[in-house]
Amino acid sequence: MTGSERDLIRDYFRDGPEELPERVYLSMRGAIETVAQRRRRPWPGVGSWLREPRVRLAVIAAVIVAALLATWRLLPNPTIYGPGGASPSPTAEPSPLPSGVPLATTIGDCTLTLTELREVRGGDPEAPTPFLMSPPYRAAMLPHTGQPSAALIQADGTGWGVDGPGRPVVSVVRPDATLDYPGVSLDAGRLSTSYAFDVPGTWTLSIVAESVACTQVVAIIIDPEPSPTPPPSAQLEPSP
Amino acid sequence: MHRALVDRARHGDVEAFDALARAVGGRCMGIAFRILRDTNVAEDAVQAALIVAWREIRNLRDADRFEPWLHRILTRECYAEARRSGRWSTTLRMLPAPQFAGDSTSSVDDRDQIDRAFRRLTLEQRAILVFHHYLDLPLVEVANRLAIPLGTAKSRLHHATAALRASVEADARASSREHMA
Repeated sequence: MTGSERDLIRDYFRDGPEELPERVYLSMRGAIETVAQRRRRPWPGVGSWLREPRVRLAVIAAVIVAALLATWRLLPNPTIYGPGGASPSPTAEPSPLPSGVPLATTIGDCTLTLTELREVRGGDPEAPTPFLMSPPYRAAMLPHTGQPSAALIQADGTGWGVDGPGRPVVSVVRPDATLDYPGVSLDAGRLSTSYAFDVPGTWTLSIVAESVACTQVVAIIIDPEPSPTPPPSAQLEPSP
Repeated sequence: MHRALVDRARHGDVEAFDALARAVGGRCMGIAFRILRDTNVAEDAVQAALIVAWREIRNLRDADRFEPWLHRILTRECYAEARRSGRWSTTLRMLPAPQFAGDSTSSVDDRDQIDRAFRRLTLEQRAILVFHHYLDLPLVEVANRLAIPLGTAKSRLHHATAALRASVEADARASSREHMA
């Protein structure tokens, strides 16, 4: 570019407005005050954030999942397999329970109150040892989904009616719900654990089968003392 | 000099931002008008740029670079406003430049020729000429304000100048042919 060309261009740029009219400032001021007011609102930007298509989709999906979960939780309790109960499945052949030992008929939501634990465990606390619930404690496990993957642990710790293709994995939760102990396994109907059941209170045993077919199984500990007049209701307090 | 105002504006001070806008608005208008060659569209572009700047001023890292940062936004808004209005692509009917005697009128003639040629440039070419010749910025700074690499800035300036020159010469040839006829 020659010097004269440069001068021509600069001369050309010399003309033209270099002031912004007051109405533009006023208009801008109105707009930015609106933005400022939006910022001062609680949760600023949530509205515009929700207008993002992906966020909106995620919110809709979350609402649908929540609705499905709520529906699932409102379903009737699954049937307990055992004496007087329904048969778990045509293929499952649960062994009969000892007669005279009542079985909980309502399960509630995974939790029953165990008012007293007599025997806690045996063996080295560090090593997995058979979970020997003091007779006549029993644990009845049944699937949340009604799948025939129920297991019932009898008083001596042996189980029956373990059904389904997978081996259930049992986790034990302390009464204060701070400990989730996954090192408990149910193998061939025998529940073993190294956890010391030394805290009376509400316990939750949840069993999750490794197979997708067996979903979640809830363990219920029932405490029918084999005394001539067992008061099950006094010892068992299902959670609301 | 705007640092304190920028800092206050970043914390949501509307008054500070208003003062900033008034301090730099005139120059923004000058840039926008020279790129767009239309007062109304330029005003719209400046207003839009200032509003965007208010929204995004929290993202401005260096308060001392407020004006270059604003110019970058302004350039984007100029492009957007031109696309919205469609005025920049208005086809101009080329009129033969009247020939007058005398130095002062030949200067006016030159300006008309340049104006017609400038309006034929793309917006990007106009912008680089404005930043380089109107603001008198070095190419490094021009590249920074236009958010383009330095090499692109050099190339764009070269092509813009060549296009401007070619357009002026073509006008001159057409004009002389008409006079000959």
